[in-house]
Amino acid sequence: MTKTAYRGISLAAVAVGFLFRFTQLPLRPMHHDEANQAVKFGALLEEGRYVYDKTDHHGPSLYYLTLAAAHARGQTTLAELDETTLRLVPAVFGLGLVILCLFLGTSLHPGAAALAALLAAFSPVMTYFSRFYIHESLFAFFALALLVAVWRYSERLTSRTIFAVGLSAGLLFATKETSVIVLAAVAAAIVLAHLLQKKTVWTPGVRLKTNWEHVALGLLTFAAVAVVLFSSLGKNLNGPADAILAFKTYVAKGTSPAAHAHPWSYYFGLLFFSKSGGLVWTEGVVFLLALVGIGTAVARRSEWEARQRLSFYIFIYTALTTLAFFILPYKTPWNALAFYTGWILLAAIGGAFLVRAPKRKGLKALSLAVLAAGLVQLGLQNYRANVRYPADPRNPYVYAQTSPDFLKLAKRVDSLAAVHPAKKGLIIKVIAGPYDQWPLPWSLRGYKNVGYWATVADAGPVGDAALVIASAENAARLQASFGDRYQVEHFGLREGVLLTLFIPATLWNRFILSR
Amino acid sequence: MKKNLLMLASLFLFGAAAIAPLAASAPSQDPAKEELKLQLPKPMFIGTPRNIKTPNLEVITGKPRGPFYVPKGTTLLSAKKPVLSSDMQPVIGEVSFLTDGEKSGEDGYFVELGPGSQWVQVDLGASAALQAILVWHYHGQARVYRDVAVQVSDDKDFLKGVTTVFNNDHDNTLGVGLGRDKEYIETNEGRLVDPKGAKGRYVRLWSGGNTSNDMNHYVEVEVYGTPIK
Repeated sequence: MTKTAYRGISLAAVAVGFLFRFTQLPLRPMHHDEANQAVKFGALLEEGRYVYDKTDHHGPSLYYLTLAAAHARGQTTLAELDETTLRLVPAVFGLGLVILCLFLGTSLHPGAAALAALLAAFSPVMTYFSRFYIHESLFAFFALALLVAVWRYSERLTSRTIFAVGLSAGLLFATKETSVIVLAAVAAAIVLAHLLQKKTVWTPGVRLKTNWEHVALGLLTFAAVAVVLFSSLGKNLNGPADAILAFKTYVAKGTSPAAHAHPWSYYFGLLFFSKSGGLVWTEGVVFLLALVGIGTAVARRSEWEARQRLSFYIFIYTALTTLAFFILPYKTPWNALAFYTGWILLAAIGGAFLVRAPKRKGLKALSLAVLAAGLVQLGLQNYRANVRYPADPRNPYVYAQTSPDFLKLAKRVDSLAAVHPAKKGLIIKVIAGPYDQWPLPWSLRGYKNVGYWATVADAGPVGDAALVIASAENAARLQASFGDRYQVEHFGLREGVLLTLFIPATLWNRFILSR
Repeated sequence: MKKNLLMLASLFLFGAAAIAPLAASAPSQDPAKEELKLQLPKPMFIGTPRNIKTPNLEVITGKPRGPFYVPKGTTLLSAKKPVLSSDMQPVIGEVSFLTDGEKSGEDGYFVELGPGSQWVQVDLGASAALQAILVWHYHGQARVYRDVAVQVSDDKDFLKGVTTVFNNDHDNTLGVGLGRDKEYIETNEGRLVDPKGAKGRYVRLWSGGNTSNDMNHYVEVEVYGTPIK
């Protein structure tokens, strides 16, 4: 591959990655989980308050990194925040992952690295969760950073590379509790790659020697990053201990999930083939190319020996993480990102092999044409998943997603507040269980007097409220007592879940007259 | 190679940093007043909700419909009668599904009309005194159809002699007048509209999307009445 071609493909990957990740970020309504994270971040933004929750919501990295985005956009309160600011953070790390693939170029092959960047940039699922204000895009980025850094350290035993290992491991740990799977997989992969090299005729390349200074530097860096972030920059000294105690919760949640148990084949269907309502979804091209990549990683071909060990290392990492996430009963679409990055790298290795291996120009051209067609298919599906159907239940990445109809509820509340004497100070009572409350706290963040109760009995008298928003079972009770004094409107919250808005007749009439 | 990587890394950092700051404005306050601080309960932070993919046939509003009484001699007038629609090229199904007698909530039994406000119109063949109109939009899951209106007329264009027998378009999106009827959650019981003996040959039913998407659906429409002698 010529330098010009490498440069061109790399720039194209970054440009495509940028375009897919940064345009129309507010398009999809805020998901329940995004709104949870956003409101938690609001406390950090407004009051400097963050306490690691060992039972939910994952690590602190997302919140502290969002501070930079909020400050960059001049937003200092929850009310000022918007979807763009929040989703910029995962988008930056999603694009970062594309760029990080290129860092494998010197060790792997420039063509494979550039193709990995292209596949990551075009991948619909990688893009979808790079536009989603949760931890996953950061997690996938730090996992890849660790994978690259460990390999680099095995190539060059320098203090700089071991620092990179410690830093990426620390940030990975401070992002999600499932980091233990990635940490174990990377460790196993590098050891296996080293051991198998010793036992075969492969030429030396992986050099693992115990350098205690480096071990200390790596561990100290890891610990420093983790302690600083989990302790809320020194304000919560229980944080680091809670980070360890959290594993008890997450092991229980991962192995005996109450609501998110899926069969072992769930991710296979999600990524490689699904069909719903006349729409077919597949990233099968990645799977097929990855099979070729695995072949080159495990087969002995003299031409590939120099880079084969890295391919083998990536293969072991991918196999172990894939196995772990397939075995865990707890499955959600976003959990696929960490192991799917490995599949993308293997696909790139396979794709590069298909272009390099044939001696005849015609076959090379055919391989290039197949790769180009695969990228076009991924690009079209990317548009469909992220622009055309970002909240449609037929989209396989859509999971407990807020319905676009919910935006009409938020808009209606705004219209009613505009004609109410108290404006945004009007009293809104939300009577819904916790699963049916979100993302209302995000949508109503600009309102001063909003209260949340789980049941009608908890809420007490609601006559003082200018607006009442209730879940279906609470709405049925309210409707019986309200009679005709309230105008009633229904809005979709999620697939099959409704919210009811009760508007006092006087406010409704004022609203109608104002139109 | 290193230069290229440095260049790309710089480009990435530049892109991340080049976010235009937004100016924030402070709200104005009346100095003679102070804000009343209310203590309201905060929302509960909780993990990802269950991803519902299965049809929800639960009757959310509770009680089954009671008996409905009609004059003796009332018969089903709409069976197999021709149907017109504002969208004669449905996205899914055929408009003839409305009067084919099939009321299943499964795929293959409903017609899907385009987004926004749409109508369907049943031609009863002759004017009749209408005693009951039953409509099933889609009952495969809990959803509410918006701007539901039912009109009766002897004029196939609904320009004159129009009687509106049901209307929950409470903000007059359709332009057929402010509706006073309530919105309702679809169930397998369908919605029974009492036309109170309104006379007409044509029955037109409006809707304006639903809480799950912007499309309009019908599984079946039944019109009961007594012929005018």
